[in-house]
Amino acid sequence: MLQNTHLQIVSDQTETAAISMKNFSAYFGEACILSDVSFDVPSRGVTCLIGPSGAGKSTLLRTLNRINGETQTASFTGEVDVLGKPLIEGYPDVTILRRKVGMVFQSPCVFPRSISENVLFGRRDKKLSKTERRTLVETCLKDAGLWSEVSKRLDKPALNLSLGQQQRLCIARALAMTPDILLLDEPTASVDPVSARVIEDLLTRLSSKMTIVMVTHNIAQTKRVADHVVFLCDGQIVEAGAKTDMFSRRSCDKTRTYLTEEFCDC
Amino acid sequence: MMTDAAVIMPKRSVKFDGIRAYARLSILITLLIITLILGTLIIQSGPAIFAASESLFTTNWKPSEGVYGIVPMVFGSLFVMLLAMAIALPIGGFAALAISRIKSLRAKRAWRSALEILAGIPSIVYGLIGVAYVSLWVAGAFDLQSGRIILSAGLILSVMILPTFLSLSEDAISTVPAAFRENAQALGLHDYEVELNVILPAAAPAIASAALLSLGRALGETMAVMLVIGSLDRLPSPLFNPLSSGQTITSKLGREVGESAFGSTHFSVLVLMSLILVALTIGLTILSQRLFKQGASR
Repeated sequence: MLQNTHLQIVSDQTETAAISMKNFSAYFGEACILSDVSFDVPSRGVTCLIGPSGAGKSTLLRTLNRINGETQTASFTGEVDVLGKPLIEGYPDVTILRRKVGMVFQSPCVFPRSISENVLFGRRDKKLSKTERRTLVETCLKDAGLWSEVSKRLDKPALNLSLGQQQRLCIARALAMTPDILLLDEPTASVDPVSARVIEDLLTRLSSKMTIVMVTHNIAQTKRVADHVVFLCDGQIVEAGAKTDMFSRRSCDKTRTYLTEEFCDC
Repeated sequence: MMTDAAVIMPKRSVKFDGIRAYARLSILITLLIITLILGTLIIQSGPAIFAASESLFTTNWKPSEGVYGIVPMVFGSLFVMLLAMAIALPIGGFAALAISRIKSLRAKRAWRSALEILAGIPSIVYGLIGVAYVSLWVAGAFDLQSGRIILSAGLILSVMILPTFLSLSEDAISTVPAAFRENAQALGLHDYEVELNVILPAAAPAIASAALLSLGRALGETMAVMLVIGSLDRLPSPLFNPLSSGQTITSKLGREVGESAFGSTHFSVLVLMSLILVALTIGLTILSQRLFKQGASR
């Protein structure tokens, strides 16, 4: 039987957790998707959520900016703190939470507008001057590793970009909101291996500036980019810890079989 | 010996050939009907162009004196149509947004059924409601002697086209990928910002297509309009005064086709007006299809 202990993956105990979950459970209608999940995500660095399909990784990720809350049948119990404040009571206006906790989805989804308009899409405040807007577009596209490819066609439709470029544009769009936490749901699942490596490098660079939580099925990718790993199975956390510990110690059988890619069934 | 092609190609049966021949025949019959209608309209309207060419583009309509100015009717049709659209478009657009936001499938189905029932009510019923209530209300509200005016026609027509427009617009909004909404919400946009900046622009070509199809219906509507428009063969004064009585092409045709002798100039001018109506409807349909394709390609 799995232990429902509060798993600390904060390497330095004095460091503040960007996200803290205690006895968190999520339901869609009658179905329990996550059961009694407890863990902390440290500030900065990349935390990878891994596990087989249906383990509840995406549900967990989508809880953190309350996108799940848009689903009528979704309900939750337990405590979740994001950036030191309770997820619901601390953010009565969900849009404020979502500006602090950006999200990039599995399939790139650019709006049928120009590249620069896509980057600035979430910045609907009219306080930005033209120069500030231009600088923001440039900075975000540079951060997303896309500037050199699109700098001469910022006014061209974003839909003309390749899938890999569109995904990086989605990341740039999320970065334009200057989030403290960036959530990524299998961001490289629908792009080619070259674009996937570009995105991985980008995440490694960004991890010094912000907290990144990423869902992935790719163990090799987890090895390359993660600082911390949370292994989920059947809606429960099996094991969580620093990447080096998880990959070297392999204390749990399930973790070991999953990480050696021999995982078949929970 | 069997060739490769013979193996790959399925053997055509007599049944298959029969279905194909029937389909081709159906297309031919449809094309023939369209050609006959357009051909008849063009041939029958020919005399009007020769016999009444001097008065055709004037504002006077006096068949007894051989004066056939069609401008008031064409203007009346366009004015009533635009008025109806000005009323129906914002109401229908936002109502479609609201219905698309309903999460309960049962409630959504109930709304759709109600719209289908509304769309299926015969136009004469709307006309009777227009005469019995709308024109009286309009007369009282604007202190007029009679409520049989362009505004009443516009109001009745807007209610008539609303179900079609609303239903098509709701379909258009529902086809916007859910990912658009989710991505916009994840960027911290408020719900109204998501609707106005993401959903509506993405559905805009299909909504415009729905509007044009509804315009086509508005343009061709006869009975209800005829009962409430006042049937005055003059341009309103001032020109865009909705409180004036007027005449549309369809109301004119409805009233006078039976009175005019077949082959007369009067009849020919009426056919010419119906040709204009058909041309406008075809134009609107083509434009609507283009917009719909544009929306689909997005």
